[in-house]
Amino acid sequence: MDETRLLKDALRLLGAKKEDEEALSLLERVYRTYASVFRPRAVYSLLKIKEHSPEVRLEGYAFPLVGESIRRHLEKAEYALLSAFTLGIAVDQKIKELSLSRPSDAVALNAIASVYAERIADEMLAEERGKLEEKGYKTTFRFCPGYGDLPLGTNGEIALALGAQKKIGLTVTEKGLLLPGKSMIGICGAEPKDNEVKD
Amino acid sequence: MKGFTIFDGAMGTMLQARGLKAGAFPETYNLTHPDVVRDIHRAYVEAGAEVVTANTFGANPFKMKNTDVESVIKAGVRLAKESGAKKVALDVSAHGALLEPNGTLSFDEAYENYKKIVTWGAEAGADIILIETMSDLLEAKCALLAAKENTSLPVYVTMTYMEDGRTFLGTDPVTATITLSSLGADAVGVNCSLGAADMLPLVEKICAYAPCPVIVQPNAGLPKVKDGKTYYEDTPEIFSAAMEKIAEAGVTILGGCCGTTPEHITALKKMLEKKEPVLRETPSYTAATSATKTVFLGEGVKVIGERLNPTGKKKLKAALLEGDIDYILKEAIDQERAGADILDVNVGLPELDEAKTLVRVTKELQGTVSLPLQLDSSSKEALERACRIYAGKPIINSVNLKKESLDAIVPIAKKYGATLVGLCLGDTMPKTHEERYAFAEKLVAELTARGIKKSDIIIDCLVLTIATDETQAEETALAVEKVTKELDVRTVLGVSNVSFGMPDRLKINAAFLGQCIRAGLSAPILNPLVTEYAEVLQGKLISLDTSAYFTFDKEGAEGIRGMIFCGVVGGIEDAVREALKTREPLDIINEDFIPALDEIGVKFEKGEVFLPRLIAAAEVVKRGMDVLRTGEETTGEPDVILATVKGDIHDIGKNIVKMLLQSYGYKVLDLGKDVDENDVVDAWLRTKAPMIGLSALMTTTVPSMKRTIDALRAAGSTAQIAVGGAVLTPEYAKEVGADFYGKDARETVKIAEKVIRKP
Repeated sequence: MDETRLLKDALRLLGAKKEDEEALSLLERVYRTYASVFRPRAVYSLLKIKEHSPEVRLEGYAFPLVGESIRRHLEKAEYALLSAFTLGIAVDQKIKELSLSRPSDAVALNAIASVYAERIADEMLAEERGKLEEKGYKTTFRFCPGYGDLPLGTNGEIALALGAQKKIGLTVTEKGLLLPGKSMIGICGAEPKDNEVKD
Repeated sequence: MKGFTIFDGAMGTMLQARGLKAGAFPETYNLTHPDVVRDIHRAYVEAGAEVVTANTFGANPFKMKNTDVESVIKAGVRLAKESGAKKVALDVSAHGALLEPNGTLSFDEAYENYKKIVTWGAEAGADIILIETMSDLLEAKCALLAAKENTSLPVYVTMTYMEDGRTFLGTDPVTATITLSSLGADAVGVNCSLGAADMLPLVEKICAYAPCPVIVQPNAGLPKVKDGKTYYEDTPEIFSAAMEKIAEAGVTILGGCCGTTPEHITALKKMLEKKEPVLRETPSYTAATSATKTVFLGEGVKVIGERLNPTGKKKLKAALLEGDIDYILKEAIDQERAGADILDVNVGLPELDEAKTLVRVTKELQGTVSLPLQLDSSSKEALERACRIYAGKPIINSVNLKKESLDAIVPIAKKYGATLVGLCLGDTMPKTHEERYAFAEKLVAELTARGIKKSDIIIDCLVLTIATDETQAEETALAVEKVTKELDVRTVLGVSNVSFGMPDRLKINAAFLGQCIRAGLSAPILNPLVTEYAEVLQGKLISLDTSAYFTFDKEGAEGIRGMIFCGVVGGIEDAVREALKTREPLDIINEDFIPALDEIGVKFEKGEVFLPRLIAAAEVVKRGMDVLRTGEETTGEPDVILATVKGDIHDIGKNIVKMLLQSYGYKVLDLGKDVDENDVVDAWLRTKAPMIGLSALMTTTVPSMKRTIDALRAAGSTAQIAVGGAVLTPEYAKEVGADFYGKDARETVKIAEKVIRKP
């Protein structure tokens, strides 16, 4: 991962100015000291879309995907790529510990971890996208429960279907929030490029 | 194949092959597709599985909100039994939510769910409870306790580890093995996550520390994804070849997890038919664990941080009273950073609900620091409740030889598999190293007779201050050496007690620490933030001749006053006898004894001289008094009644007070230590002494002090009551209803002067 870009993005997330050398050197130090607690893990499942309306239904998947937003997101897709990703619980614990002992480190680590999680999730997902590309599909962006009118509760259903707790240690609270904190669940559509789909 | 037990393989994988949808609960098939479930069990029985695992993995009221979970579980066990298997294991797993403080699920809620699950499983006729695929050690403990407390079935527990050798929540196999076996798991081990070959290094570690049988159920290799579908790459042959190595490591209970099929179990059985179980040596170690770390005592010196104890720490006390948990956590983090291996946690304050506070602090600490905790309390309730929610094998500090202590503490240590500190204390206090060793020997005998493993005992040889007895440092160190070598148990010491009442405390403590480490001390309890200690721990040698503290400057040691002031014991009798030729005894007291004691007392107050000098002065006066009293009537009603209250056997402070009061000419009735409130009342009713002094050294005996004062008042006592002791403060003195707070012996004399107006 490009460390310079990562830290610049974290800097922006902190609301600091680009030329804030002090903040940047804090981020650099914190990243180098604590990056070892990041344990990125992901799990995926590619499911054929059985029905597009009135609700999206996937083959071999127990739940419908509810709402207009996800219906539109998957409108042209033949497949849905479900993904779950987490940076692990250790980073949450480290942030908590630092918030008591070195609060500025905690703030910095929180920002870095957020940016890092998004980045690494995309990097890991890129591999899956690549495989689909090879087969003649283009993939849509990672649509997450909570976007538009797709209920947050969908997080729990997808996590269950992917075996996310058992496989990557990702849990979902009753209210649909993800734990560990730096985690995400998403749905990409795989749309056929014109006449390019290979079997 | 004698000596091995074969479990079955995957259920979920088999159900998916038969149409189970992703995201649906496989367990509902027990009700909707019973034939499918029974057939899968039968296929495993035919393949050679002796134990089949009921299809109840995710059957938990927490997860299956709108389902009759009882029916699902009971049907699951019934279907497994109908397969003709020799034994049926109830399958129990995680809630899929994180426990507090990492998540929102409370220990008690999780326990209630597990209690229902295991009760239903047992009612349906399960033979074994298998708690498996666990990532959270605390949740595994919660399920294990529920199984042990609500059924009589054997309980097997397996955790699941990642490639880095830890669970998602950071638990390593050694820590899990030690914690779960200490809690009474009948077998421990690992399942899921990795293939058999990759699991071997983990299995070897588990076998090295498990005192019970080990169970291993790997996946059929690592999961691979093809066309969005998960499959496992180990064929039955690859699986059984890797399982052979696992059996050779000492595992006796074997089966499969995700991706394994009846064919895998057939291959496993065929392999095991040709093998004999490998006998493992029973491991012996003294350890404490957190959820993510094991500390072995006896391997080098392990530091137990002492800063989480409100005695003498105003800020911590205030934080506890205000519920300022962040301050407490920060103290813990600071100690961890400074190199502590274990943290002692004591929250005993008379105005707090100790059990509630210890539970809260323990919960928060284990979510923030990774160090094992030493739960420090004499409250049965506080220890029981904190041990219960503690994610690991704690140390309990402490039990002593008194029957009440043994009866209260030992069952808790036994039930929760804690390592137990045995304090060399009983109805008396040991002085020499031989006495300490005798106490330690008795403790080991008594504790092992009550079911505590010898390796789970740590002996505290009891540190007493050298201020009142210069030999105490040496005697303690000798005791450590003898206990380590001859009794072969690990030792712990509260190092800084050695210098109570002395100057240069850090220097004395550091030198004593070095002395004890050389004697073989396993774990000093100290403040890890003190540089002087850190240097000693790193091997710096400090030699300190403490005799200097007990040799006083003789200059000015002329005449009776000078001899008292300088603490020169030899010759005082002759000097007094000589003086008696020309002066009245009372004049000698008023003109020499009292002014000399006052003078040294003032210096003591200012911190210019220390306890040894004050005691020496009192000793000189005592000898002088003996000469004055010769032939004189010494009986008569006492001016002061002294007692250390019920439950407390610390009497050094009280004895110093007595000595000084006597030196000033007061008549003292000393009731001793561990004195029942009724005995104090009786003594007052008998003597009507104008003043009573009560001493308590432990926070836990402060309430006993209050009871004594209440009893005195109820009996109509008009005596003025002064209280003192290490944990007392002016506020406590007021709270317990005392008239005076005696900060030290000197202060108590001043109180006596006020109350009795004498001499």
